Amino acid sequence: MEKKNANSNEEFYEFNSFLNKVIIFSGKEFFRKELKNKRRELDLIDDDNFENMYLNSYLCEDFLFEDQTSKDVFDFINFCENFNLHCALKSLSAIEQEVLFLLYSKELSQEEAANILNICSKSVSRIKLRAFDKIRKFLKGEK
Amino acid sequence: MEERLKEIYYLGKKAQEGNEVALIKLINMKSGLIKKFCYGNEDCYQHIIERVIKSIKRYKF
Repeated sequence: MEKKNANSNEEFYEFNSFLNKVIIFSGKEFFRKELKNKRRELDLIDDDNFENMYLNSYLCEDFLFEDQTSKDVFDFINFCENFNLHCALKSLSAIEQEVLFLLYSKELSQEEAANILNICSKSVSRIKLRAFDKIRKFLKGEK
Repeated sequence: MEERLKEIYYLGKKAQEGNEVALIKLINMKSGLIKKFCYGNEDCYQHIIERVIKSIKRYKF
């Protein structure tokens, strides 16, 4: 009888710990999948073909903005007073344009921009430096 | 504590047999842990509940 009770208690404990494990692992799995999807999206943005598509869609008059941010980035680039700078900004990739827009038009910190773009702040810093480098090279080439 | 484990076990058994009330009770009993691991994300909350239901249905009592 005692043995039976011990077995039942074990079963109760086993089922409870099984449920706990399911909850913990499915929570982790969800965030892992989400992170993977976001990384894939960023990889697509970095891809050259996608970059050209994105830039062409910016140039197209009938382009429908998906959200307010993309419209703001468009304004940030197109209503730039310096023509050379405007061309240099247009030559940047979509993610670089968005980072510069968030940092210098919206005046956000690197951490805040990183939160909006769902990337780490180190990546924001790297993208910013890469964008500056590209702009510098573009402007030197112009002169 | 033992009573709680016992209750969870029998609710799980009933839920597997198709008792929806038992399933809801069981999820409510585990909602604290679910909320802790979904970090306020509603989609994640739903995902965990879905997984919990599936795993209860598959569990060999």
